[in-house]
Amino acid sequence: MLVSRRSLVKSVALGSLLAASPAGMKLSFAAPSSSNLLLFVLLRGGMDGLNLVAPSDDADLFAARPAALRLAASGTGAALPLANGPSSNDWRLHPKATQLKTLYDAGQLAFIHAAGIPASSRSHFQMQAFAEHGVVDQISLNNANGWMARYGLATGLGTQNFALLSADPTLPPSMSGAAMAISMPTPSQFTIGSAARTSFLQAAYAGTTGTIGTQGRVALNAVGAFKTLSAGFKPPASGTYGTDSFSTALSVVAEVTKLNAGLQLAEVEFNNWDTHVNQQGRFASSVATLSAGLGSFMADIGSSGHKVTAIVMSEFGRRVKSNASGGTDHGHGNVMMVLGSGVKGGRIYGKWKGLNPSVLDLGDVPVTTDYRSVLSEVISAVRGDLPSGLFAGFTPTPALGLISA
Amino acid sequence: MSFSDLVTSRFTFGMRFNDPQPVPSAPAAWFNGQLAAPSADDASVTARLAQVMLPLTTTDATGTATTQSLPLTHLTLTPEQLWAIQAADTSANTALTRRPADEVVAAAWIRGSFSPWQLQEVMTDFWHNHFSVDAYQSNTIAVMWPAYDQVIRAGALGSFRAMLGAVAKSASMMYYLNQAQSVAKQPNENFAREVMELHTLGIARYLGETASAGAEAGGYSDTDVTNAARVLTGWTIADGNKVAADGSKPATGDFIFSPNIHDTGAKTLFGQAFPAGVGQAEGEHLLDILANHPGTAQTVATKLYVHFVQDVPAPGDTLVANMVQSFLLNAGGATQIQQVLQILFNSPEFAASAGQKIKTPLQFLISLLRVSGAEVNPQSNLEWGLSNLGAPLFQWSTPNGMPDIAAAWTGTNDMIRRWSLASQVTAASTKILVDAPTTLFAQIAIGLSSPTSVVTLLAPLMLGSQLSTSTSSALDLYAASSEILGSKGVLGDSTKLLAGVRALVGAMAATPEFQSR
Repeated sequence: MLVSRRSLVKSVALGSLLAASPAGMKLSFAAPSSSNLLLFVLLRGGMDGLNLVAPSDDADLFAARPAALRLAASGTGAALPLANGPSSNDWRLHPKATQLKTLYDAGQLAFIHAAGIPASSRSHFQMQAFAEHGVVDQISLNNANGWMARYGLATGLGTQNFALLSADPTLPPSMSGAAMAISMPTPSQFTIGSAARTSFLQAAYAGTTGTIGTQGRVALNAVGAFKTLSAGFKPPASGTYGTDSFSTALSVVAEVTKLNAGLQLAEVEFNNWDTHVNQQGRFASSVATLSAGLGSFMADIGSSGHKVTAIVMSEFGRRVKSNASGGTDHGHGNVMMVLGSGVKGGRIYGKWKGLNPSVLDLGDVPVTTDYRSVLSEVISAVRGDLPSGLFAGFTPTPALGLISA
Repeated sequence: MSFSDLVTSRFTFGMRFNDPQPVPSAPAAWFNGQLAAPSADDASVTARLAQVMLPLTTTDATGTATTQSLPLTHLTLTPEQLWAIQAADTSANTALTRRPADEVVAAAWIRGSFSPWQLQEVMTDFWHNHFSVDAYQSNTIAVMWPAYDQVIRAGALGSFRAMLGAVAKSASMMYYLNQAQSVAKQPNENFAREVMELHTLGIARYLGETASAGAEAGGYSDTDVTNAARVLTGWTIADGNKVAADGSKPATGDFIFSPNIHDTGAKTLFGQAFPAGVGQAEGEHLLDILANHPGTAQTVATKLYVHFVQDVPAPGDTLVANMVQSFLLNAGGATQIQQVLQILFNSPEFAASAGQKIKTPLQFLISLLRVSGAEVNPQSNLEWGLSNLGAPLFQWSTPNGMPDIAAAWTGTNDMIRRWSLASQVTAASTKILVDAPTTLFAQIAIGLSSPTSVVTLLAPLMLGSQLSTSTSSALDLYAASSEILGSKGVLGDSTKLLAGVRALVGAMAATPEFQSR
């Protein structure tokens, strides 16, 4: 990362956000009977949205890309048709995204096309940092906690065990600044060992100041709490989830949800979308993993009686015109996804201007929906609260109507 | 903490028990000597490397696996010799092709643990992370990995321009960032962008998608990225298909300039004209501009500051500015990086920074190996451990390299994994640390009467003057528990005592004090 995360902890917004904490919010640790989980999935590397959800009959796309990097309307490997596109084109979904197609047809998945970060940057690392901090410029980035941390701090969730969870090995920047955020990639290894060893670590970390002391105590508390919560937990049958790291991370989020641990916000990341060369095979493989993982997760959660809403985005889309290495370079506007039982899915939202070079943004899909619109709308509708200043400087645009009232 | 201890904690991988060449109490001369490290391995390291036997598991066409234990034979091979391995690999699992990378990983544990040229090792880690490449992303990168490691080692204390050029021309970087595949017709922008954003000018100098070149602002725009990609077309690797200037198609794995995939048009970069028809020299000129740019000096100086001093420069701190000045003053010189490090070493900011840095996973593990005083078996358990800490060696998945600040390595999972790994590394059962009369364990295990006296002897050696009273009393209690040294049976039995002391060393490695440097 090019930004010091430690500096981010000193948020100028913290005081005002805490003041905006909704009245009546429980500040103590309390395990609700069911969760109302918001899951943020970040596809790192720049997912090529034009290879996932696209107008298969667009002449400009034909001119810009070989068949290998487009969605076919017919023949072997034909893409899956999508009803309710944002234009009169024949909109299609990548053929490997069969579970996403099922969710879409069931009305539990909405796409938002030409969405993204309204910043003029094609840098992975800057744009990922923007996405995780809920900002659109470098100066704001330097003064912000992660947006999930800000939400947690403003609502009191940031001080509760397991309210914020990363199922990846390290805490994502979106949670930087929330001291109680937990990273737990492998529940079975979320242990310390014997009672003697636990006592030793508790005594050793009890009086330590600074990051190490604080984080050590957070970890010791979390391990203790998890041991109680997870007693008697039965994992889903083998084969419920794939064995890839994305599916595994989603299964961990589902497990913590089902433990009634009080989980409210979670993040899972999925790397390997930076397809500058030989995109076709790599992309298909990643799409299959994405689709199967989300499909398994939604089914697993759905059968548990818990409520979950997932937002999926990448830091940017890719250039409309491909390069000569069978790949695509960094672009701008992209497709976002919102999944959940409360989602008004089965539709591609967003303002679609087409792909004619005259409407493109220096060769890229222009961003017509600010990603913060999607985040704000979903948080507000699903969680029932949108702390003022969560996305400072952003004026919400009229809601797209992604969530059922 | 004494200045000598501070120097040990930052410019080495940590104190080594019974170190034959410790950092002296007045470390200036030691540091000067370290800056002039020879390029070759020290004899003590060479001898240890010669003893390493690393498993190699190959499968044949029927899927039958064969495992052999073989010495390290690829570390000093030339790019040409390494390149030939891939075509000759008859194993079905391409294990022979990945073997060169495996050997560099094994050697890194030995060098980090035992090299008396610790600054060379620390800076090699620094530059590997700066010019980060995932060694196992493809077989081609893996087979060429010893050559890439040689480039980083050779350049670690020298001229930034020289290292930048050697990195840009190395097969591992060329394939990782797709420069090898870039052609004039539709250039691949991957390397052109990252060399500016990550290796040189930095994101602070990025002006975004502005259509105008960014010379006035001292930065670069996407137009500059596109034009840099055009400039660099023709820079590729001799893979047997690319046509060299003389019309031949060499297959050596070396850098070549291939004129027929080079964009021969005139370009404008950073507001400067790059005339048509100059060929390979256009790319050299681009690297000259980048290497000598104030933005690059800022990028490198800031990164060195964060690595060696603290996570965030304090207000009024002039060290970064002083290093920038030195970087630019010595640009292109063979001692450029040495000069910059001298500024850092002699600065009040460095002297006042004791305890300000958290060990990265690699620093945590190697410091534990060093303080044990044991011989190290560089086997897969070590790599597994580092992967568990989220930082597998040479396998960061994105080209930005791993973060170097506390917040990145102190999440819940990070803490729990460190605690458990500390015990696993020190346990005899994992066979990582080899028992010998020279180990810390063996010294302590001789002639002791009480658990507390073990702690009294051991803790200062492991944790130095930073040992807190709470940690000290926690260790006393733990040592006296039945788990470690509490029963008379353990104290009376030298074998059990050795195991107990190992476990106590593992516990000390889990303390707050051992996590910082």
